[in-house]
Amino acid sequence: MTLHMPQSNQHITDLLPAYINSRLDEASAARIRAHLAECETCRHELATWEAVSGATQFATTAMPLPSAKLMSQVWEKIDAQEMTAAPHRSIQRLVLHLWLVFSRQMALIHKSIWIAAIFINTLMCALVFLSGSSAHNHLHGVENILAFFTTIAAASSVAFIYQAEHDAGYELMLSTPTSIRVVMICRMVLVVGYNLALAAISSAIIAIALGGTLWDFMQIWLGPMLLLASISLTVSVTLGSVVSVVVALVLEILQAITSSVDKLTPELQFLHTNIWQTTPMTLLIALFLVVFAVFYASHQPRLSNF
Amino acid sequence: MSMGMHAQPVTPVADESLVIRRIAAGDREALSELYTRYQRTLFNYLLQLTSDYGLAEEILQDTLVAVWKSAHRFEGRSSLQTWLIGIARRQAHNTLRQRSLPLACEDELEGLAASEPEPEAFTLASVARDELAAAFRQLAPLHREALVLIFVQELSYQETATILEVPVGTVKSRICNARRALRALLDAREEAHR
Repeated sequence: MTLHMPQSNQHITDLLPAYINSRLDEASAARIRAHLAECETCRHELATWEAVSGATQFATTAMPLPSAKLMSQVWEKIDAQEMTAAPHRSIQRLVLHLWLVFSRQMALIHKSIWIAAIFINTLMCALVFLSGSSAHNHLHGVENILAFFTTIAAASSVAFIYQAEHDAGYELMLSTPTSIRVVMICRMVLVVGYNLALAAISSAIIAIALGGTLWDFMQIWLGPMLLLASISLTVSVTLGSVVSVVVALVLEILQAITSSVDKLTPELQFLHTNIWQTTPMTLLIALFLVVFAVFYASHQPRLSNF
Repeated sequence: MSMGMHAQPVTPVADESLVIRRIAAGDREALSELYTRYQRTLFNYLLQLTSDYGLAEEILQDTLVAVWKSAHRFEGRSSLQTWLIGIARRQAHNTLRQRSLPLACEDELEGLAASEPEPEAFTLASVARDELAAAFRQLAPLHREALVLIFVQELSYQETATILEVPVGTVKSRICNARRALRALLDAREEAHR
């Protein structure tokens, strides 16, 4: 180490520790030796520093060593940290996997499901506007049309998301190790979300034409749509898609009849339940049915297990 | 517990960067080799910062875990010994701070290095080595740390400054202050004997 050397008449106290531990380059060390030969004060200083150095080394000579098992404890810590880091990486992989499964469903779900929903919603809007001034005066009629068509569109779409005989893409999915539950949830979210978006657009168009807020019209069908879609999913998983569509239609017709009876004979209104409205109870029942359907489906035989 | 015979300075590993590269590549044997070579250096240093043997061991473990995780960042700008002691110091400070234990470097008023020799009533060179060593053990961790880095690990001022994260001038003043503190302890002991 080269350090700034003082003039020959200056003392070199602060360089002496570096001189003692041999960390000066040869040229600097030679100049220090030359200075020491002439300067008694610095020789005295050197002796003092050497005493300090010697005492420091002596005091640390008998320092204990760490225990023999220290390295194995280090490996335990490293292994534990790597174990906790691993789930973090697997969470990233899981999210990516879920996204891939979800995005692939758009291509794998049968095209007729997407087309049918558009067709039903278009038909619904046409009926509302063709019903003319009578519908303007009787919002109840519009409500019935909205409730019937939006819910039946969603229910019939959902009825076909879990049937290999109607869906080559789903058959393909069943032959892979991907969880059926994950596929079911992804498809349910996609199809219901799609129907919900279409119904919201239709409701917005009707709201603009007839007056009122979007929510006024949405709350007519939101709860019933989710409830009937979940019933449809459960029936399709247990009894098949065709039965599911029939059940959805029967329920819808029964609901329409009940609604008409209420209107004609208000004294029997106590028989009417509020289950076909957007209430927390409706949403809870829908959620319960979806959970049941997803778990039921996952316990059915898979093509990949054959 | 085994007792060290001599606190010899560690001579540099023939190819320090190779050992570190092996550790960075996940070679567990390389970390064990590094530990075998530097355990005395690191443990001796850590025992200057804390007198708690168990705590020093814990910090040493954390140091080796940190070396395992950060070996890929070693660029050879400092020697391996300096790098290792630097990591040990940071680990020690983190642990001591977390446990609200006193740190070695805080709130210190560093004086300027004495460029002129100081007159002494009696010379330290005349004091028996074991008496001087006993006084050394009573020094503040801050002063013990600086003296060990210079006189036991035989590091240069610049290397010591790198480890302590202070300017070179502060290293010089710190070891001068350590010497003064040693002197004061011996003076106090002398007074007590009278």
